[in-house]
Amino acid sequence: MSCAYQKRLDYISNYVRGELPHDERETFEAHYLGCDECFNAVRFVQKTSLTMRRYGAGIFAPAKAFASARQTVSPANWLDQVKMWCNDFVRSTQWKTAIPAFAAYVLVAAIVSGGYYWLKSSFSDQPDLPHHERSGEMIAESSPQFAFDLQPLDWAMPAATADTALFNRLANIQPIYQAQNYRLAADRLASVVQEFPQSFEAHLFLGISQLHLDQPAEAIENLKNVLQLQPEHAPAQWYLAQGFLSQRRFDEARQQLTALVKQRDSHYAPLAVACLKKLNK
Amino acid sequence: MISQNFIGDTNAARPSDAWIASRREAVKFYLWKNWNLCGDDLDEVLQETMVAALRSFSNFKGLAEPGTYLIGIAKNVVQSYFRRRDRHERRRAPLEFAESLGVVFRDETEAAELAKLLKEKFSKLPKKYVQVLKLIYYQDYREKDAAIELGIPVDKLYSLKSDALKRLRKLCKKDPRFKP
Repeated sequence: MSCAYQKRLDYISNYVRGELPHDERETFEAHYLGCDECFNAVRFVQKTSLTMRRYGAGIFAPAKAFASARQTVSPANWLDQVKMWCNDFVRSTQWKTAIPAFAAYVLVAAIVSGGYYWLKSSFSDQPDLPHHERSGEMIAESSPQFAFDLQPLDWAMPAATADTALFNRLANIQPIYQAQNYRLAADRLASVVQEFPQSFEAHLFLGISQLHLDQPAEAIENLKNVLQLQPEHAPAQWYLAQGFLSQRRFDEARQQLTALVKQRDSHYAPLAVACLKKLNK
Repeated sequence: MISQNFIGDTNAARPSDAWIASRREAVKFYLWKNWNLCGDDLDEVLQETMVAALRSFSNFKGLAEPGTYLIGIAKNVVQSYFRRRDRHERRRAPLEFAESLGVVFRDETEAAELAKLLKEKFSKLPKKYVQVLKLIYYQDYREKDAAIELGIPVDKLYSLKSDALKRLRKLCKKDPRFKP
């Protein structure tokens, strides 16, 4: 016995997959209804096709995964049914594509959030930097970033025995300085310094005001004058060090801070130690 | 009484009642596959078809293929069944796996056993064959897309598919656990 379709499993496969033209399909159906061999072949292809579609995840998976999947085929009770549902879900194609998608999502989220916190922490380390320090040209250098401590220094009036005119001039500037109007204070202190070059208070507060006004070069000159007048003046050393730091003159800043540490000033020595630590990092 | 050897030979004599009864499974499969019938609908139409085939058997002269005779009867029965049920066309939705139970498979256990068998047989097939079968039957690729995916010409893919099915069938037939 022989027939035209018996060994044409690809043709039968096309029939099973519904890919045959209408007239060919009808002819073939009429044939297999009368031909045992062809009907068996059709049933074989249909069975394997359905089985591969249904159990493909297990069939095409490594042997171990399939063995565990197969055990859940015939659930005996509701617990087995739940287990089978879970296994089907884990083995399903959607889940297999969902795992890499979820991993990619987590990775991207981690990178974005990590970048965000890194940027946030980098900027929060330098809140008091002068504007030009925050600009790209200065940050581009490989040296560490510093938080400058430019807290306003308490106003110190000269002793009552000093020049009355100087005392009155400084007394007029005091509220302006304390109101943190550093520009006006610096203008007035500059005229006081010209008139009274020996007043270290005028030099000191002029220097501090200039530091606040982003004029580190002028501030350094005035603070150096203070140290000439009073060589171990702790606030002057501290602000001078800040001036050097803002100009990235790290060696000179380090010298001033070391000198300050040696003085063991109760307020400035710890600040200097912390600042030195940052510098050494 | 005529033996079943006439099958495929249109010049042979008329089929017997017993032969018509033996085609029950094939008719059932045809109704399921071609008319998307399942469940009670399928049982009812199948029963009517077999009864009609046996009743009108005396009119069959054996000039056409017996399959054509059966198909003609099945078509008439299905269409009159649809008319009675006020349905004018076959169901469009594709058949689900569950609907193949009782027609293609006896039950889900048989399908699971076949899956186990196929798993074993695939380990004996060349990797290329398994890849082709996986793409076409599991991932539902069309031949053209599967050929692109594998980076081979479409003709080559057709021959691989055909060879793979033949090898698989041969392997399954040799296995005593395989139930056709």
